[in-house]
Amino acid sequence: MELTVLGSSSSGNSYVLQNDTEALVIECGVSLKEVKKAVDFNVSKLVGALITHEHLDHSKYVREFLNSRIPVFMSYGTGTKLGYVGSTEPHLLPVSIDSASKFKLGKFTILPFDVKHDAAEPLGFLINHPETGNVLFLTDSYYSPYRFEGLNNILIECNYSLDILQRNIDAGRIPPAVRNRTLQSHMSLETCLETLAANDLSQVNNIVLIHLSDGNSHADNFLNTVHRATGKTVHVADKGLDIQFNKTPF
Amino acid sequence: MYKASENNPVEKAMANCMIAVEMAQRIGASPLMIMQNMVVIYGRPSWSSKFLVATVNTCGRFEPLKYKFTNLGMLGKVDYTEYEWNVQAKKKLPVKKEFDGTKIENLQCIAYTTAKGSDEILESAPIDIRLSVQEGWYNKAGSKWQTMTRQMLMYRAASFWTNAYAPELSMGMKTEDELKDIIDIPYEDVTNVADKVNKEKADNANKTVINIDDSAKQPEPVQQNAAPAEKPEVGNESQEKKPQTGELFDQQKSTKKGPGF
Repeated sequence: MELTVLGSSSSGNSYVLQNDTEALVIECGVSLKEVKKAVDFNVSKLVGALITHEHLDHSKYVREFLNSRIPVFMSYGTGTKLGYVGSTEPHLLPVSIDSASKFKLGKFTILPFDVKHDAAEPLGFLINHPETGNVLFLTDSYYSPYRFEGLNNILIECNYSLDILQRNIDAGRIPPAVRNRTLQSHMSLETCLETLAANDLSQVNNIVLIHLSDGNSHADNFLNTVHRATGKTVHVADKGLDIQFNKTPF
Repeated sequence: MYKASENNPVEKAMANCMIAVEMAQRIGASPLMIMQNMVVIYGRPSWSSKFLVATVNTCGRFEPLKYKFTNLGMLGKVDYTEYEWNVQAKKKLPVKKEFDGTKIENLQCIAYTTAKGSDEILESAPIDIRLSVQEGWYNKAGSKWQTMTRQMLMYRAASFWTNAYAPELSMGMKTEDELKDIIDIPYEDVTNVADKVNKEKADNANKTVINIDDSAKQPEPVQQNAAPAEKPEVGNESQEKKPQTGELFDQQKSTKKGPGF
């Protein structure tokens, strides 16, 4: 299985987990054209797209997916915010999913769980596939209420560091009020480390740091800090990152 | 003369008259004088500056207001903050700017007088051009501060004097000029969020174990009214109409199941 990062910032988020026969898209924050390129135009292997919440950097291109008959999965709250309740076009409707209700897409088993973000009904995903093992996808959440057993790969938000955020506020580059929203909606490096420390990482093959803030993060520092703390292979989800994402490194 | 129209019905005129009569009774002035000098700006009543000065001068408690001007030298460069619309944040955010006042004299004005029967001088807070730039009064579109500088300094000093020594005369209302110049920024608490977040994390973070293979270790379904985040307004959609996992959103129109189920 391969992980391809098509975008991982406030400009647009999208990740593709794929092998030769099936591909799962997580987030529709970049255009379908980019996704098609990532799967080498083998659109038939797209089993679906998961959406965490309604903010446009995660959902802007949902309609393109629906127009192409690619099933899109989101919570009821997210669908409501995006205007899909009461639509008269059944072929253009996403599928409703609930926190705690497991479902299958091809060989992917997906367990959505609730996260902490300033959105209607945001979700994170625990995804299992025979090749990847258990994958945690956790973004746009200022902390995780949950610990996860048996993880093999992790995509986790590492949006900002408190030090950098405070320096930007002190320098007047960021209004103090923005700090409020950031603290209550995104995961800091410090919280990311706490979350990783709370979980059993003994079977984890890759940790991918996602959704780094443009102004309040430092990719190299974050990568080194998480690597030192966990001893694991750590990647920063730069656009275009393409890595093997299997249960084991071999 | 009040002209009744669809937007200005007679009822509105009557309500305005009632406000004016009430104001007049409270400060012991003629209702017609109040009507002539009360101006509604952005939906808020305010006094004209000259009315405020006249009220102080004629209230009987103070000697007439006087003004003291001081030239503080050339203004020089002044840093100030302007609130500009931010498309992403969908609200006005502060932007730091620099005003070139190297060719402008920094005049200062203080309004003062004494209470009748007393020698103690009652001075207003000093108003100067630097303050006017920093507060954003000087650069406002159509600002009279650039063309009628001394007049605006006197009006503002008189207003500040009244706010300090006889706020009962203005009934807490600002003057017409103040209301146009001064914008109230909504209060936002930026101090306690970190504490609140830390407490919430200490109480709830990483507490519940999830195992994708073990149904006993899976999260509780979130109740519609239990999530702390803003919940969507669902209009007339009742809870019964909420689709289950794997169902399309519009179950009223279609019973088709989503692929993969």
